[in-house]
Amino acid sequence: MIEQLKNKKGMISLVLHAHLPFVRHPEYESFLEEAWLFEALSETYLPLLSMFDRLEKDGIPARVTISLSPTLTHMLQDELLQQRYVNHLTMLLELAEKELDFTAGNPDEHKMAQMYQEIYSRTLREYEEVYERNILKKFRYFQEKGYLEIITTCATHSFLPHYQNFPEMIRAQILTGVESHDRIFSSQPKGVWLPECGYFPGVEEYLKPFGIEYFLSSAHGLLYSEDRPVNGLYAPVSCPNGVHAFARDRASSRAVWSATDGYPGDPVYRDFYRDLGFDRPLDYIAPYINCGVNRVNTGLKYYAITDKSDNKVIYNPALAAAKAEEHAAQFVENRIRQCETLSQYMEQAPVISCPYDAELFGHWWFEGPLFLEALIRKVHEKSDVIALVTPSDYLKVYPQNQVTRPAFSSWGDKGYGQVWLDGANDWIYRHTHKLIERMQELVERFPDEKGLKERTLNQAAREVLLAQASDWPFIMKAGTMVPYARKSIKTHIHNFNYIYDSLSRNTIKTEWLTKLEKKDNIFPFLDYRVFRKDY
Amino acid sequence: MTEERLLSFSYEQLLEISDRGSIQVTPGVDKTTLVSLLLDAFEEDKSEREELNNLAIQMEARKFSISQDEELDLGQDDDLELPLRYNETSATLLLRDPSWVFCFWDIEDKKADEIRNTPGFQGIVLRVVELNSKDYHKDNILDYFDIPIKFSDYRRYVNLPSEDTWYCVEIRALVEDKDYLIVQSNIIETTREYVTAPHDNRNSHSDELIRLSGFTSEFGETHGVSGYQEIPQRIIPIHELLDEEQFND
Repeated sequence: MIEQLKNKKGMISLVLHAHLPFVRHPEYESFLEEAWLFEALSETYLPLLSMFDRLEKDGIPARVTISLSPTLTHMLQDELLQQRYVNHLTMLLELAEKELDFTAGNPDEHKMAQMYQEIYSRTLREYEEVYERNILKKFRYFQEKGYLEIITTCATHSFLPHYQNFPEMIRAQILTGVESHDRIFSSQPKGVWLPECGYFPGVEEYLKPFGIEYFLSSAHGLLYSEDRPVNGLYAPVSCPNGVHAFARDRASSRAVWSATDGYPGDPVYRDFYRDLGFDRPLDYIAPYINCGVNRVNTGLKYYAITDKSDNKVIYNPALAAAKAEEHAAQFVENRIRQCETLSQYMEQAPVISCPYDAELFGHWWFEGPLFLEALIRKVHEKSDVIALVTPSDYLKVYPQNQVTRPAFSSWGDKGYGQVWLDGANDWIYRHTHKLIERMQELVERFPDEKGLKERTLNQAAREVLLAQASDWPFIMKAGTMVPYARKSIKTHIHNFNYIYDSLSRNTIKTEWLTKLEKKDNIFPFLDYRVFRKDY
Repeated sequence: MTEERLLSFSYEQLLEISDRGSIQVTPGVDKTTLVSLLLDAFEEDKSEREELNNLAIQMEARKFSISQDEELDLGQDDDLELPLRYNETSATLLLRDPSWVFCFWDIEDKKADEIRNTPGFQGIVLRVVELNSKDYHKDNILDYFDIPIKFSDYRRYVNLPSEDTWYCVEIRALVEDKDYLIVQSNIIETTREYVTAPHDNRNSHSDELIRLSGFTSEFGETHGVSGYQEIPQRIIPIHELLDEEQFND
């Protein structure tokens, strides 16, 4: 394999990062933000698995890296959320069937209603019968078959540069992420997704003890390395301790990400914003929206992007699928040309790293999974010149790389920590830092507790980790669902402080603790001693 | 935000929404005009947010987008109000980007009273100290500057004069013609925003490869990348090989 890869003009490394924050509310019959998971399941994770099924059936090989965050994998295995997803699909199926009647006089819309009725029927059937509600088994299957390399990320997707004063916290985030991965996939991850590509010099020291071979970096993080990266972004660099950094290629990122001049903005693709939840009369759509009054996206979208006006044309799936194939072919051709140019200047075959948010494919860009499938098939057709590889494949071919250390960076706006440290969210750090200090204090005070006190301390550790999620400051900055983000982080801080005070007063309320354990039930294996200095 | 959603609120609620959003409303304006004003303001706010975010952030935000009415919250979460401070003496410094740090601090009430009551007390300052290493020692101080602060201040963003160096902050009390340390923060290492010069001849094509690592039209995509024009201090010349607008995706 190694010699074959060395003879290619270059390699493409597709890395999909699948992550959602921990959102689980058993205290309510249903909860709006749990739909983040349900939409991602229907539109991204299940279509991706179907894509690998088709590729396997056709004997088309693929090598794709996917990072599955610990919060996401926990939710995907959670029985309450699994049941709620089934309820969600059943509701959408009912809406699609109701739409068959509603659109009877409009053949164009009727076809769309039929499409969604078919999609939701199939999704529900497959989720129950094929995946038996746990799609992780199928991800593991494709890893074993060689289609996927599954990697992990920090326990709760913490933006590590803003916590670099707390080595124990960073270790706890990484250790818990690795352990969560190991328990699900029975293997140690070879790579790690640093949340938001947030790197600070020295973070690699926390990765090495867990056998992590690589992480993904922003483009400028690698370009501004201590020593000039002699191969630009097209070969990894090795940190002094041997952990490698692969940098995001920017041309391929933009082609896929941009809504205006990238592929997803093509007029024939499905419009993300035009949703039935806002198109139908309130009394008709009420059973399918939030509390019957607040309109939300249902996922049933009948129109193509068309143009910037409100006069949209009806979505044509065949036309969109053909366009996705065309775009995939163009993407591969461009990467081949890119590799041809690069290889003139490099002593090793270049690798073009293409990391994306997995939820882009399918959720926002409906045709994204079709694009990926066409891309994989096209690379297979052109396998004499180009190959799909995972970062660890590339390291097998080229284990020795330039030694240097990247610079502090992220893939966020302006390239550093602004998104997660801004006037909209900077208030959180006084509290989240205090939580870590108090957790460390608790570990010192209660070094080896058993029984109820140990349970309490473990829950305290869970609340500390949950409060660190990068999603909450991100949402506050991005301005989407801000009240929920604010409340989430405050709740975790409040829960921790309540535990801290209870332990100080030695008045732990078992009923309260049990209720909280059942609600924030993530990382059941977590040992609070992970915050100990010498753990 | 939809017109339908806004119309479902009472006139008083709409005034509260405009108040929370600092939207100027002419007294006595009718409900229809008020709704129209709010819709325009929400739209403008949304566009600004989108423009301010890069592609990665725009994309990430979309996975949390489930409603067009999401910007509005009339709910209260006062029962979860967090303390403004923890009444302890501490200072923390966080590196936000190569040019800016965020610092937050606190001075225990008892200590603050002692300082205030010190004969000759003139005020407190936030001292930003540049160091030549990660170890604090008076011989390692390269430079410093003071920012006057009040006891009621707890946080501040500070623009840093130098990159690729070390900083910490100190809260100091000015007493007569001397100053005394109240608390010192952690030390942070700032970052660099440039490609370093080549060390050797390992790859004589590194200039070309670095140029190719930025965006050019030669690979088919000709998309320009939005620039740093609105934040002039961030214009980054990279050995004259790359245009600054190529570095913000």
